[in-house]
Amino acid sequence: MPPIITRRRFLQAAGLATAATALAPRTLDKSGASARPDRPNVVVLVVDTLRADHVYGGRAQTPNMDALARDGLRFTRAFPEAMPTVPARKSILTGRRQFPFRHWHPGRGLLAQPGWTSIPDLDSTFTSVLRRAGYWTAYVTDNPFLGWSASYERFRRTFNRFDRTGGQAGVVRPVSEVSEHELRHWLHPVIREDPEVRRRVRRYMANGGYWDDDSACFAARVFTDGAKALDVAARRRPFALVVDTFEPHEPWTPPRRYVDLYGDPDYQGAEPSKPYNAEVSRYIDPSEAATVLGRMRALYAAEVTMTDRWLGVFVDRLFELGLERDTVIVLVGDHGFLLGEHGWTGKVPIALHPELAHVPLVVVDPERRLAGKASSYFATTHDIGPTLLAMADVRQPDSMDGVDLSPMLDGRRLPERPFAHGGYANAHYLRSDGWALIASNNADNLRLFDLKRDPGEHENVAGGRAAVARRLHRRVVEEAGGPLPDYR
Amino acid sequence: MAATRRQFLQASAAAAAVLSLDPAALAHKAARPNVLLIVIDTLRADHVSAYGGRAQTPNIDELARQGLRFTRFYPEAMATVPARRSILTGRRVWPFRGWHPWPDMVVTPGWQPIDDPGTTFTSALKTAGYWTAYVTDNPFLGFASPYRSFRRSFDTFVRVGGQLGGAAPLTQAAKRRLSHWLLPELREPKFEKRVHNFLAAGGQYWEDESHSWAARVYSAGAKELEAAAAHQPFALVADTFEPHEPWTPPRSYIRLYGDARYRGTEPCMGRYARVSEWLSRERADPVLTRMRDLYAAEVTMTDRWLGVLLARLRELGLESNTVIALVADHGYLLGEHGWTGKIASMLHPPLIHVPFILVDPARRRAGGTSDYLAQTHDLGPTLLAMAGVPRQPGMDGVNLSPLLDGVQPPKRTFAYGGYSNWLYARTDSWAFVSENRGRGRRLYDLDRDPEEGHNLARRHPRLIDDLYRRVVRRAGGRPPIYRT
Repeated sequence: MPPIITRRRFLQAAGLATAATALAPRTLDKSGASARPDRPNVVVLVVDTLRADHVYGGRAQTPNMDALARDGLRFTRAFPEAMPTVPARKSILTGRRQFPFRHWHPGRGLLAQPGWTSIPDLDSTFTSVLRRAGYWTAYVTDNPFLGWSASYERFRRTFNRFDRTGGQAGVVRPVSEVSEHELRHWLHPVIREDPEVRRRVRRYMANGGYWDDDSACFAARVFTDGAKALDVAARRRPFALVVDTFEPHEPWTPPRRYVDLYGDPDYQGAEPSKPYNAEVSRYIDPSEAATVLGRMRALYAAEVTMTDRWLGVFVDRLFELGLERDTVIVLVGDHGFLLGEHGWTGKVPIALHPELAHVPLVVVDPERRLAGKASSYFATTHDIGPTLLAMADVRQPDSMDGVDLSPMLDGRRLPERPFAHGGYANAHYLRSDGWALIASNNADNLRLFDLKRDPGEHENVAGGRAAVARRLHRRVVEEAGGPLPDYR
Repeated sequence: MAATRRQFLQASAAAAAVLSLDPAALAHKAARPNVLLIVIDTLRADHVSAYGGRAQTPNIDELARQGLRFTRFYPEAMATVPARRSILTGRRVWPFRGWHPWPDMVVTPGWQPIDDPGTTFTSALKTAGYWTAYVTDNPFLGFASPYRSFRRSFDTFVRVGGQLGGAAPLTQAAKRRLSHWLLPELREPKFEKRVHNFLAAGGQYWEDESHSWAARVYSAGAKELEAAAAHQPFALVADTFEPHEPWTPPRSYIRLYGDARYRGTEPCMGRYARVSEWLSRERADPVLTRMRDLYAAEVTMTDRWLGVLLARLRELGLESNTVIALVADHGYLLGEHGWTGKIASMLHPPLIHVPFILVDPARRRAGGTSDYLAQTHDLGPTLLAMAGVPRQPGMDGVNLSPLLDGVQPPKRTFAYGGYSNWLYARTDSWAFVSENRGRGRRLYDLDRDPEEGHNLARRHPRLIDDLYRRVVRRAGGRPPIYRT
């Protein structure tokens, strides 16, 4: 079949593409078309609070994410090297390991937690690098920090287009719109006492109000805005678009029909829409633990399915625009959420078990190499930037230290990575084939799990295998380039 | 009471005879005719004798003699629930954009409630003053919670339970019968549970067909006709799940088709799989033969009870001012193309070619045929037009009633639609099947290869590109893929 000159090549040849940077000089062949290969578009879908065991036929129904996994390469042992929300996104955007968050200090509008800072060198995010290489870049999100904090104001300006949806935190609509009766429905008695939770849920309900109509939910808004951004992006190729949805982050107030997929359809009681970040035994009576935890799990799975449904709307637009053959798509989560496992609910730094630390990661190659395959390589968040730049044939800045995963698509080997490691606030983990180590940075409390005998990580064997635990902890320290900061 | 073969044939013939009427007596066209829509699940066109099919269906044949029979009717959305959404809303529902799983529903794209039951053709008739009723044993429309508001959109909704179990206690007797009706190849909890439930709730209808669901639904429908007669104009939908598997018909029906000496396990259902995946080479032939016999028997039994409904229509003197439409939602592969069951990728005639018959109160075009590429979403606009009710906004089906006057509706050059993640398109000469995003494309030359046995995709790359593009354009963009 004779080569078809694409519109993009034509524009490049005509010199209408934006300036390139440190790239090999282009040579024109006789037909006048550029000899450089077309650069793929880039779409990164970041989904907050997404447990790996809730996708690809796991505990929730996610037909659209499953379809992406079927088209792409799925990494089955992806653990973010930095958690949660903001540290993970810094890792994703900068392509540079963030753990162990050295020299951290609190940032404006951010949580006072190690790792939560602005991005210092905005020129070296993968999106900024792509923009300098001629890409049109956009970020669409409802993430309250990247979207609305002062610390991320300059970050927002690094994009051609930054679309933000408010309301996940803070006040957008008057809370007086939420009646006490409605509020009590979403505040199960076990979580009703904490005034901060009350305020948070009430504001969320006022801003969201989607339990009757999921087309009002935040995921719907973000993904439809993302689809609109795609319409614009399609006319400005190549483009790099990040769609970053805060859903299914708690509070969870999904429409009943989603919840009925997972919970008892006859349940009439109040819903625990926002679990505490605490031990179950601290706030849930054993006599009702099964019911309450069951309800939490149903609500969470319902929000995952609801989010997936709207993700599908976005992916559909991508296909409708015929972009799927020219676009790398990455799907990644930033952390999970404990739903009673190991005696905890919520996000707790010291409980870095898979329920909290294991996330989906899928890379869809435009040419669909390795489509539907799975890899157990310990891929992680700061690999995404280098991988995308390599696939875009753009030189990566020296500041990036993640692994470029794209050689795997050609059947080539990646650098050995015998274990995954990373951290959350003042705690860290190391996971190899056989062992999982969870510890606080000062090494006070090492916990070790024998993954071959105890894959559920229920029995801490650090006492009997102290040497192993200490050895693994030393590996973390080595990788981190020295003693870990202790932010107690 | 088991019917003897003679009694059976007499009963069917008697039922069939009641609809033979003098067309001239019906020349006056009713201003606001009643509407009777008969929906039959899992009915292949090639199992209706009026279509030259294998099963004896004297009552459907009589409808064909009274009405216009569509020879090229393909549902634009399958299977069960998507097809009914299409039929009821008069809109294309494929390609199921924005679908997500629903409680009480099969987790397959398109299985979702009707967004707004106020937009169905039955609701439009009700708003126009019609008394509306729906009689069914369909487990989803009848019992799933997402269909609650749909059920409430009718004046009367009669539902017969038990098709998916839960209607009767599981008895030991039913369990013992498993070895009679369930193939050894299907001896696993999923099938045992399904068939056990079916046998317990089925009232042993293999001994007394008046206990069958077809009998119950059509008898209930006949009773509703009596009420309807007092509330004209009425619109009644009689929607029977039979002959959906499991198939446990009385021996008298099986004997019409199968070897009377057969003593093996009766294959009341098969797997949704390649034949070679679940039947050994020695077992395939005898098992598939018997499955086909059971299916044909169940079709004839269903038709017999349809006759009861139609007889009541006649007895009530309603046949001269009632539009009757008969349609099915999909077929079933009985070994064709190497598969059994309903397989989304095997969108060939055994699965997608179903009967559609339209009977005009004045019997225009009685006994005629049309090869117009009609589809499920055409029924709504057609029935509304014949009732003199304006088409509802949003309905995009074609009103087929001009055909009754010998006038062609807008030309439709190809029929298309889909099932799960697969789509099909059929022109006069070509049949095309593809996964939604264009993978696995297959092409068949209908003039030379009506059985669709030889895939010519490789020889006509531009043609299949063109067909795919045309479907994509009409679908508003590439159809979505879901993984379930």
